[in-house]
Amino acid sequence: MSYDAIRARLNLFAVLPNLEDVVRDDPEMKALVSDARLTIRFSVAGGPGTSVRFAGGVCTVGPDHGPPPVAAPAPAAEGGPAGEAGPAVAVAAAPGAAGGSGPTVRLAFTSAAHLNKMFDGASQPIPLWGFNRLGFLKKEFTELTDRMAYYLTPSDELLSHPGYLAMNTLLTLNTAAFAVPVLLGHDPDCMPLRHGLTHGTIVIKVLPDGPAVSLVCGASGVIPVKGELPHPSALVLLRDLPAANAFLNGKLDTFAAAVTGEVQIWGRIGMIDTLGLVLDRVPKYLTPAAEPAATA
Amino acid sequence: MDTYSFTKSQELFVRATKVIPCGIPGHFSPAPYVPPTAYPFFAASGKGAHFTDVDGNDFIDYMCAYGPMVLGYDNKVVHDAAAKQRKLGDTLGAPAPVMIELAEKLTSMIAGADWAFFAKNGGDQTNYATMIARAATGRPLIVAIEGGYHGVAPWMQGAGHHGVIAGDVAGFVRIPWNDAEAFARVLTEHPGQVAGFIATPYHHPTFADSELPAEGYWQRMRELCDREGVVLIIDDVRCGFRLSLRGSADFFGFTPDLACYCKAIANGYPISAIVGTEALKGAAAKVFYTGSYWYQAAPMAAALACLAELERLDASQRMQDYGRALTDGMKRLADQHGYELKVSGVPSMPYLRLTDDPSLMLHQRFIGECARRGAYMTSHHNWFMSCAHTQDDLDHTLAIVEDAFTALEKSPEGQGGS
Repeated sequence: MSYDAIRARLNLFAVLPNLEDVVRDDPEMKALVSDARLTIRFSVAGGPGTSVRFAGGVCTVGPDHGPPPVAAPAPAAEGGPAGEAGPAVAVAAAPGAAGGSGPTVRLAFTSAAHLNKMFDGASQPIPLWGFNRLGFLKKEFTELTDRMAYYLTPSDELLSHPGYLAMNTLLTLNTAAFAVPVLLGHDPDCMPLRHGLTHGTIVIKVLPDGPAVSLVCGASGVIPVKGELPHPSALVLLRDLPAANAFLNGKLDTFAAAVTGEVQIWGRIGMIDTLGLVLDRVPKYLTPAAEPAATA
Repeated sequence: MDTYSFTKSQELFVRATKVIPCGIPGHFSPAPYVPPTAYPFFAASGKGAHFTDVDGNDFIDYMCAYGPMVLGYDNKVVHDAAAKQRKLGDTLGAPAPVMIELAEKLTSMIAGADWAFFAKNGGDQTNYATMIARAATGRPLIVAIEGGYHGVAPWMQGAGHHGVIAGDVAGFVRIPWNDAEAFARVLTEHPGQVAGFIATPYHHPTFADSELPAEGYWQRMRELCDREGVVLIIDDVRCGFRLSLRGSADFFGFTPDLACYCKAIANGYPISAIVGTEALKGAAAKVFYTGSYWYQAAPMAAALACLAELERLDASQRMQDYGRALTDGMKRLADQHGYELKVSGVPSMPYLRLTDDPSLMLHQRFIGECARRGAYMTSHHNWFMSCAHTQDDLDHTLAIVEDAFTALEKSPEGQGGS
């Protein structure tokens, strides 16, 4: 799979779900979408798709769960590992079809590269459905995604503010966890590592009170879950928010940190070793300096 | 029972991280020690089966420097032999005759060995073995075991690990342990392409129970290798001389074409060896393979002395007996405290695991409690017995284990007990 195709999946399945947290935890954003009731469907020609739903002041991101799409003349879809994606078909859903979350706006992308350019702020999608909702797209949704991008683009100055530190850490943690099934399924360096994530749950938690993510590893792949699931097989405990932030942004020597206590590991260390190898590949795709040549 | 603290170790570790990647890299990295606060990071001295850390804590050592310490630290017989050779010359302008003596010694000891070649680390020899196999057969593929450890060269680490590219592992096929028919299938799928098969005498992966060869496994593998002209390579780096002084293959009733040794050869002096059959001597000669310090004479003299001591002490049996007494005693104590302690592998290199908690967190806490009381063990790697462990060490270790189980009962909750 091409660099752009993998990156598009990461943007859709690892980055975009952070909108849920931004709406929940940023009061200004929550107010901004409090009256919104619609679904925005992202579809890439011949590639993956996902939906962003707004209802009752809550944002949810993920595959559609409503009735099947009504029209389907789409290019062949590519499959993905469990937990990675929803129906990867680029079709125009009927208004209201997506789980009853109101009208649907469909944003079509001609290619994975096209989608990635939008995430980089350098391109616009083609709206195929829901023209009457373009106002929301241009104003509220743009403001919301800009806020998410703000939280995901830290600087030392921004990280000195506790609120920003907490949000950046939360979103980076989510992104890392949701990137795992994408990379295990498609990144050529990560695919051989799948056997290292045996059955059981890995919990990554910031002490003392979170946030946390869980990775449920099973025969069909890895399913990321926001929050802390019980009975983990392996635990990665991050001492506090600053340590967690440094860990997640690659500023810690993780082997050394595991000894100094900034990072504590317990349980099935082999699973954590494998997870570390996978997470080390995330910046190859999701940092501004990421180069396509790195994934020939 | 008092527990140790590790203030100086931790201070040194922080200092080390400033100038050394990981602080302590590689297999001595304390990162997998869970919790790391229960373990020393830096040693100050060693004597017999004990070492003292930089905080002055004394440990009965069941890792034995991850294998090399087989006679005990600071062994006078080995030191004297090395010192004598060093006085004559160590790294010289030409090899010293002691190299021949050591080759003669190894070929006389190890079943099926007709020649020997020396380097420094086990990985030097396992890599050389694959080159010899390819040179001898003119074929590209090497078959190895899934999860088998043979060192740190890219092909040994496997795809997906940092610094390893697809081409590094392209000439290797991994099959499950104890599955001779999987090997037969590889031979069928790659006719005339398999140069060698490399494996440890029994499967001793990290983070998992050890597995002994199934009945008839090695004999079937030998048969398949003979039928297809495949070189059978035994990586005896870890097990070597702890199962049998004639080599671990002899212990399991077969003869390899090549066998690699390192850890227990010279009681800590840097040297490794490969031995092989006459049929492969020519191919070994054709492969250009060397290193700046591979002709160092003092470690060869140390090895000669060490091997003689191993024979004098009937070392393999001695280590098996001690390991059996230790693990039997630990299992009995575990049972008395309501835990199940599973022991796998061979007694001289046991792998232990409390089965009561599949996440292994309970086991990690238990081993950590042993370590902070002076029994140096790790949670997820096989241990090593030595000829220096004594009855007093055994008695004291079991007292530590008893206290560690009691500590677990007093603090029964999951992780984070440090």
